[in-house]
Amino acid sequence: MRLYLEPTVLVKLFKREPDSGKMIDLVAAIDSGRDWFGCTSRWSLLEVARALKKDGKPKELIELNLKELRRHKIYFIDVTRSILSDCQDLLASHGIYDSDALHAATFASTTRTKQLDAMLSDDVHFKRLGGIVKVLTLNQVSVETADSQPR
Amino acid sequence: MEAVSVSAKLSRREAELLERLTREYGFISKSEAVRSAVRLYLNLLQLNPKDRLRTLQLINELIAPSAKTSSALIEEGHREEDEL
Repeated sequence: MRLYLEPTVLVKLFKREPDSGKMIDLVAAIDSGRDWFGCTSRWSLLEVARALKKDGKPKELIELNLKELRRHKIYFIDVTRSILSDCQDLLASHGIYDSDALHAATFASTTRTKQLDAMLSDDVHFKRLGGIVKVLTLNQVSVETADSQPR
Repeated sequence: MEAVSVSAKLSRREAELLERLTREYGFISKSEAVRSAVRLYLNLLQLNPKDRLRTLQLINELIAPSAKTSSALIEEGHREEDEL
């Protein structure tokens, strides 16, 4: 499965939530490379850093978390002029936040070249972009363990 | 065993914390406390990726526990940007 990882699911890697273990399994599956691909915008690193800061994590721990995030086989997509231009169009036609528009535009642009199946997210705002972004939650993705093949 | 010396600059706050914790935990010296900290950190980094993520998640939880969910934290950040 080929997924765009939106920041709401990336932050789960560093917090204990009911489905955060599943997110660790998913990253392990992406690391194993067998049939799993994960990507996100470089912008996500900033959103993850900000969320962790808001969560009261100290600077050193935030830096360690971000270094860890970069060590996996998650592909970070540059914020290009073309993506920003698509982003402006989305903002003009939908009532969404700048960051959500950036992820939707990055997802749409990456889907054209890397054939993504869906965006993995816990952000309800993406439902408004149903025609542009196919959104899945962690509970809709089946990752048994990193050592097994996806169903 | 051949030893290599490595020096490190610490902030005043870190130096004071090192001094205090060296005493409290009964390390024979500050160097010994630093060696133990470095070994522990290197052991964490050497874990396989999945175990490293699990351990890091626990460290995050122990150092700064919080009941806020990931999506609430991201949403909070977006709302603040919107208000600026």
